[in-house]
Amino acid sequence: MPPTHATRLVADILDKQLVKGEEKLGKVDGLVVVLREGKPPRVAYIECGTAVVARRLGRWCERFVLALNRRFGVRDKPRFRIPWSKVKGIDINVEVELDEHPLLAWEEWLSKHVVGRIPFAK
Amino acid sequence: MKSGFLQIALGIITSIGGFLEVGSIATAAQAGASFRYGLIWAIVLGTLCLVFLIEMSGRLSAVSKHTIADAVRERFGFDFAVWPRLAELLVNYLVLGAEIGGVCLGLKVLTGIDARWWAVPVALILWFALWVGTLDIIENATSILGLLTIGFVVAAVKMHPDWIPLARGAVAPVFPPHDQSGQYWFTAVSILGATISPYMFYFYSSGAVEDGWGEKDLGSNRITAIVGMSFGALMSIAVLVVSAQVFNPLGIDLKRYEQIALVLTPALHKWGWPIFGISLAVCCFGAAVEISLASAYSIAQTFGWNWGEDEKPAQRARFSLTYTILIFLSIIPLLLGVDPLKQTIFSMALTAIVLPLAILPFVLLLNDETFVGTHRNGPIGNFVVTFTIFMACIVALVTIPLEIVGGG
Amino acid sequence: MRTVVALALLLAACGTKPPEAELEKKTVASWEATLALARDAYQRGDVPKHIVRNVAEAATEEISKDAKGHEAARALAAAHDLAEQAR
Repeated sequence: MPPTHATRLVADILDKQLVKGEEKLGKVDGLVVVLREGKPPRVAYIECGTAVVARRLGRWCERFVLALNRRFGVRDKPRFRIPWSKVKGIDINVEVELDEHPLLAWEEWLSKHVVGRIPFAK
Repeated sequence: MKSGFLQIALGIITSIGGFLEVGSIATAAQAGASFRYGLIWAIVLGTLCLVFLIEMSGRLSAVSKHTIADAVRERFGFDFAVWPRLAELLVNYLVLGAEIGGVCLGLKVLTGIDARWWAVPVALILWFALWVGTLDIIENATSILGLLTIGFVVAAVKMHPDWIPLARGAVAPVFPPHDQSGQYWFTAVSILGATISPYMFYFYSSGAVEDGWGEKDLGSNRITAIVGMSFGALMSIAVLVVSAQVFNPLGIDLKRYEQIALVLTPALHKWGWPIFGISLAVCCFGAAVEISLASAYSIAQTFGWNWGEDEKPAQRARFSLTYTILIFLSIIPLLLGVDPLKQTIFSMALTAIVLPLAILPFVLLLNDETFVGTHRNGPIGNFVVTFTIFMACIVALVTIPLEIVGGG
Repeated sequence: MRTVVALALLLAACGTKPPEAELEKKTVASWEATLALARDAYQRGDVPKHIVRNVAEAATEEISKDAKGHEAARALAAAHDLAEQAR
């Protein structure tokens, strides 16, 4: 695959909406690309999580988010990697097939413990 | 697929929330009182730009199936998108507080009970309407109630304005005496800043996606943009004209909403004050709905959360919590005694600064094939956006010195 | 548009703000006219008491803030009278 193709691939996937069927899982916050000698780079994983976007703003931001996560976190890790093999299609959204994932951990926790307790929420 | 009227309802509510909210009503009334018909052109100019920008928001959403916030993050990356989002969140927080304050002022006109007492009940009603309501219900209810503002047009006509000076003021600036220049241009700039509010685009674009617009809706999108925005502009001009007829001959300079409340009385007699009070309350409520949702949409779409007004809050926990927290935090200034009118004027100045950043993506996204396919901007569209960005930069740069000289 | 804005900046820069005394006079005159408008509307039965009270209170607050002197005192007295009428 020529390098220009690879670059467009990064631009075409990064920051796109990640979906599983109809459900929105989040955004493609980062990509893990494997560099190989003599060959063009290969996308190995899609990365998601607040720590990932924080890193894009700066190391200080990433440290801050990780500290918050240690104190208040609902997920074990604020960073989740999806293997490239799980990507089923790239169109308007990036469609993935995942069995278990922590991407909606906050959504579910808030839904159960906060929003769900307020009347008329369901 | 929705019928034509229901689609136009999205246009009308977007418009009411943008044109007839606490800042726009005050600015239009002040313009009429101080300069008679001399500032109608500012409303017309703002409206023209807005029609184009709203049409573009709808077109982007219908063709790309992306909302603006979504598209901006995707095209420009999180590192760019986060800054305008944060700036807008701050501005929206202040504007939302001012709009809730506007509802409270409307209720004060109707009951005599001080605005601060209404802050918590109004916030609760606003929150509840979003919590249990769907976008359809909210759109239609606000549009129908908003039709009350036609009372301003009735009053304007009843007072027999001079049509020729009115027309002249609509097409070009009417220069005032030297010592009033600062105030004239400050009011003109305020009108432009108040008319073109970024939250309108995010709201309209999200509504278009939530209502499932597609390429076949591009024609009705154009009509909706034109009819919807023209409706708002007409109401805004009506406020200016009535104010010109009532306050200008008496030399009244409008500083407080308690004065503006008298505006419909000469034309509509005992119906004047209740129609004004209800119109103010309903319009500001519509604006508050729009801003709350626009903010929640914007954040949710930037982070890729599930969002949507039509689903139950428990299924959209982060989205629903965002507007909930925003609404209840926004009433703090009001409870602390900050005057809603002063808060609006201050936030209008801030909006002016955020505006160029908010509109800039429009130039690129609406010319990008991957987003809008064959429906790219024509030369007129591109000219209008560029002109608006340029105007927005001028408004941003000039607001501060003019505030010092002209005085808000 | 550019010329117009450049003109605006120029006017803003060399346009004078009217002297303090003149501004005060304008403020007082404006509020006196507002009070008269409210009073007439009330006497015609077009507005209820609380609207008149709102106007009188706003007038008192704003005049006390911006103006002093003989005319201001007269306007404040008028506001007070109006508030009494609408008790």
